[in-house]
Amino acid sequence: MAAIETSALIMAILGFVVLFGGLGVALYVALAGGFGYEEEEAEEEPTEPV
Amino acid sequence: MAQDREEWGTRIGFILAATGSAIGLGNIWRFPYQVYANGGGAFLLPYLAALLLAGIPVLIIEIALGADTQLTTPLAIRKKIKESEFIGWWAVLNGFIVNAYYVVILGWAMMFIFFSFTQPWAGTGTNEYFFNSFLVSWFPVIGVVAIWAINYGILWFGVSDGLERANKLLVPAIWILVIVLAIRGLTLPGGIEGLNFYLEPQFDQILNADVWISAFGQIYFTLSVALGIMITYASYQPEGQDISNNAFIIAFANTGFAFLAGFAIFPVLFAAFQNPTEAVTDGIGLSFVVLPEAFAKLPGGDLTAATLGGLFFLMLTMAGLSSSLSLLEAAVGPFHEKLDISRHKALNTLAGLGAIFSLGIALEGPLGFSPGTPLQMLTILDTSSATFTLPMIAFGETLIFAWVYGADRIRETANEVSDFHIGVWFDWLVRIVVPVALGYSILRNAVDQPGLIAPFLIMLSAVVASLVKERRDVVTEEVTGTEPTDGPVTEGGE
Repeated sequence: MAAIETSALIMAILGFVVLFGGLGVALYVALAGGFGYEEEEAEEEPTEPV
Repeated sequence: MAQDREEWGTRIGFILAATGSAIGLGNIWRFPYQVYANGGGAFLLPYLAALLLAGIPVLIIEIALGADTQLTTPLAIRKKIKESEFIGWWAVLNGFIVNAYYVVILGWAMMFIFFSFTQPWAGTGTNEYFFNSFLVSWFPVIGVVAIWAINYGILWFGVSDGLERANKLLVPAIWILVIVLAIRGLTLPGGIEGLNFYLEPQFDQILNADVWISAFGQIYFTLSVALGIMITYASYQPEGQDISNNAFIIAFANTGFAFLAGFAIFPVLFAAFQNPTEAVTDGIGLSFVVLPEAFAKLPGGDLTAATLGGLFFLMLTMAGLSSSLSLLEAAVGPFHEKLDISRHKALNTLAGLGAIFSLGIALEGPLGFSPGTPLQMLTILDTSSATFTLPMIAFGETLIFAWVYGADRIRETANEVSDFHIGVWFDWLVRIVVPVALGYSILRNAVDQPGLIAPFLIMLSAVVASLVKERRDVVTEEVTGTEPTDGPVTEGGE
C-alpha cells in the first residue's frame, strides 16, 4: 500500500480543519443559543403588515 | 395574501433543510473533479476564498431577505424593491426548469440502487449499457414517476410535517453514507494513491485565472443561491431568527460534504482501474458509467460491488431528493402566497406540470425523439438554466440589493438578530467582489454564446431602472417630506 504524500496530507488536514472547524465553531455558537424556537416565540409580538 | 403561513418547527429543522438543499448531485459528482482538475489540494485555497468572499455574503443576503420579510422569494424582493419582483419570478422559473431535469437524473440514480444488485451491465459494460440500453428503455420513466411521487407526498404534508421531517432523515443519512464510503475507499488497496491524486497540491495553478473562475463559478451552483430557495426557506422561520451564523453553518456543511465526497470517489477509482487517470471524469459519466464499473472491479466480488454501488446510489438519490424538494417548494410557496390559493392547489398544479416536463425529458430515449443522443434535451436545459441563467439572476439580485436597496441595510438587518456581527467588509464584498466575479463569468459565457447578451442587457436595464427610480423617490421624499406612493418600498418606518 502506498504512503500518503506529505503535501496531500497537509491539504487534507487544512481542508478538515477549516471546513469542519468552521462548522464546529458555528454550530457551537448556535447551540449555545438553543436550537428551538420556543423561547423566541414566547417573546414575539404581532407585527403590522407593510 | 395567504393567512395559513407555515413555519419550521425548530432552528435545526431549517438548517438541515437548507443544508439538504445545498448538498446535491454537484457535491458528489462535480466538486471532487473540480479539485482534481484545478490543481489538486491547491484548489482548496481559491475555493475557500470564493466561499468566504462571494458564497457566504450572497447566502447572507438571501437569508436576511427571507427572514426579514417573512415572504417567499418574488414577494420578498417586491417588498423591498417593487420593480424588481420579476427577478424573483425568474429565479423561481429557472429553479422549476432545473428541477424538471434534476428529477430525471434522480430517477436514474434510484433505478441504479436496484441495478447495483442485478448488475445488468455485466455482459456489455457500463458505457454501452447506460447509453444504448438504459436511456432508451422505460426505466427512466419509472424513475421519474417514483421521484415525483415522493416529492409530492413529502410536500403534501407541508413545511414542518413534510419538508422538515424528511430532511431530518435525509441529511444525517447522506452524512453517514459519505463517511462509510470514504472509510471503505481509504482502506481499499490503492486507496491512498487516489487520495494523493485528489489532494496533492500544484501550487503553480493558484496563479491561473481559470482556476479562480472555476472556484467562484462552483460556489453559486453549490449553495442553492439565485434559485429562489434560500429566501423562501428563511421566510418559514419565526421572526427574529439568526441570519449570519445560519449562513456560515449551511456553507461550511455543504463544502465539508463535497470535500469528503472526494475521499469516497478517488480511492475507489484507483483501487479499481489500472489506469485510473484515464477513467477520471465528472457528472453523469462518473456516476452512471465509471463508478458502477469501478465497483464491479473491486476485490470482494459481487457482494462488494452490490453493497458499495447500492450505498453510493442511495446517497446520490437522497442528496438529490433534498435538493429537488427545495426546488419544488421554491415554486409552490410563491404561487401559494401570490395567488392566494391553498398550498395543496399550488402543489397539485406545479407538481403536475413539473412531472409532465420531466416525463418529456425521460421519454426522449424510449420514444426516439433524438436517435443516438438521448441526453440532448437534458443537456440543453442544463446548459441554459444552470450555466447561463443562474449567474445572471445572481448578478441582478446582488446588484439590486447591494447598490439599490443598500448592502449596509442588509448588514444591519443581519446584525440585529445574529449570533455574531458582520463588519463593513460585507458591503464591499457584495458591492464589488461578487458582481465582478459574476459579471466576468457571464461575459465569458457571452463570448461563447453571443445570444446571451440580449437577456443580460435586459437584466442590466432593469437593475439600472430600479436604481434610477429608487434615487428619484429618495429625492422626492427629501424635497416634499412624503413617502413615495408607488415604487420601491424604502421601509423608512422600520
